[in-house]
Amino acid sequence: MKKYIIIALVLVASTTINAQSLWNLTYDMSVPLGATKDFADKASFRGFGIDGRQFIDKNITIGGAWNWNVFYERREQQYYDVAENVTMHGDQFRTGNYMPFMFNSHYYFGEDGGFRPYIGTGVGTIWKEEIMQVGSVTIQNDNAWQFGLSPEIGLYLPIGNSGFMFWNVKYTYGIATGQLDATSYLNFGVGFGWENF
Amino acid sequence: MKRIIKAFGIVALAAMVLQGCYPKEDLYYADLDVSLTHYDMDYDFSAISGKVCCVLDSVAHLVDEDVTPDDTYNRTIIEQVLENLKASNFDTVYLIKDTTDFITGREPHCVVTLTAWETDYYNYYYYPWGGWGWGWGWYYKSGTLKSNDQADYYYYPYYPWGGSWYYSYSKGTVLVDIVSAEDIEKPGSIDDQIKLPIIWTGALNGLSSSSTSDQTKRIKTQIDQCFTQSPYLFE
Repeated sequence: MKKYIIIALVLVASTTINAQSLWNLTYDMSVPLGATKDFADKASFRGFGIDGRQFIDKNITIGGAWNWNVFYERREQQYYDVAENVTMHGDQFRTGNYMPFMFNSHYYFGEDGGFRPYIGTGVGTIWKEEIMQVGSVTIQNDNAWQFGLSPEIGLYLPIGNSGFMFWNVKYTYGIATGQLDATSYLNFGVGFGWENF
Repeated sequence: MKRIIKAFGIVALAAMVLQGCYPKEDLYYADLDVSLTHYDMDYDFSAISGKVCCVLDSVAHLVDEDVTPDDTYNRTIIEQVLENLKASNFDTVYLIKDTTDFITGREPHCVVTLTAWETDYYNYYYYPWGGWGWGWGWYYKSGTLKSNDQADYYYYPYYPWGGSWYYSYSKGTVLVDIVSAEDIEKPGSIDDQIKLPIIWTGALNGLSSSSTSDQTKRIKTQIDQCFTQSPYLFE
């Protein structure tokens, strides 16, 4: 797994040293869906991402991205069956950490130097950790790597000589493993970046 | 140089953002309180209906060496457990000084022991309740458990469904154990250990607060919760 992360980071880094590249930072707000919603059913305002892209054509980029999204929910005075004959009661504190590492490719509409909507997708892996505490007792602390996908739409607006503003909506999905359920959430990102960093 | 400054700025910004990513919340002591119960699934709890239950009138404190036990909440624990048991299916519930102190003709079907953990040194488990008098008193031998396989005593708790959970109890935990007195296994010889079958355990855990009134209230609430989530003691 480390090998893939290193390749991803090298790919991201490589896009920053050539011409016609984009490098951006995003602040992510996220809405949990599916099994992620079952674990922590509360929108997240804790998220961050770094994305590097290289134009291989006037309308197409390839690159890589890393995000970190944190979901947190406190459920007060809940019952939790640890086993059929073991029951815990107390406030539940649920924290989910999700880190997608994705190779991505995007297609851009519009002209270079202008307002450019785009569509694309990422393929890679997601590191995920889900921790649940009941009161002061940690009763679940699982983590796993999952194969993941992240289709995305967005747009960017060039500002000045080499900067740009950036908005995107990205769906992140990780396939369930034996240890953990599937990951599913929707990102709303806003950020800024540089062309030809 | 310009690129290095940009990269440094990105890393610094990321560090600030990531620092803010971890959830933080102001909590009261009570927010971290936990009540846990477990029971023997093979035990027929309807059998307690109309029976006698005795509660040992003391709380055993498991403490580190040279530490004085904190007895502040002993009465609160004993009285709250007693109150809940009196509302349960047991016909008669009364306090006893030790396991030979029962009233003739009202021998207990179950005995309740209370234990407070004031140590995290839970791998060295000392079961403080000895002298189980009815019929096996001559087997009593005091002592502590040196390690899991070096028993130097004849009385220890036995969880018929497996005892893995008791190793998880830690500092700040109070245990309420109901032992089925009628199911205590008589040993074949003096070298055998007597098993004390615990049919139900209520455990309460929380952080110690400086306010005695607040702590008393929390202990009562948690003991009540242990019984509330065990309807089979009342059906």
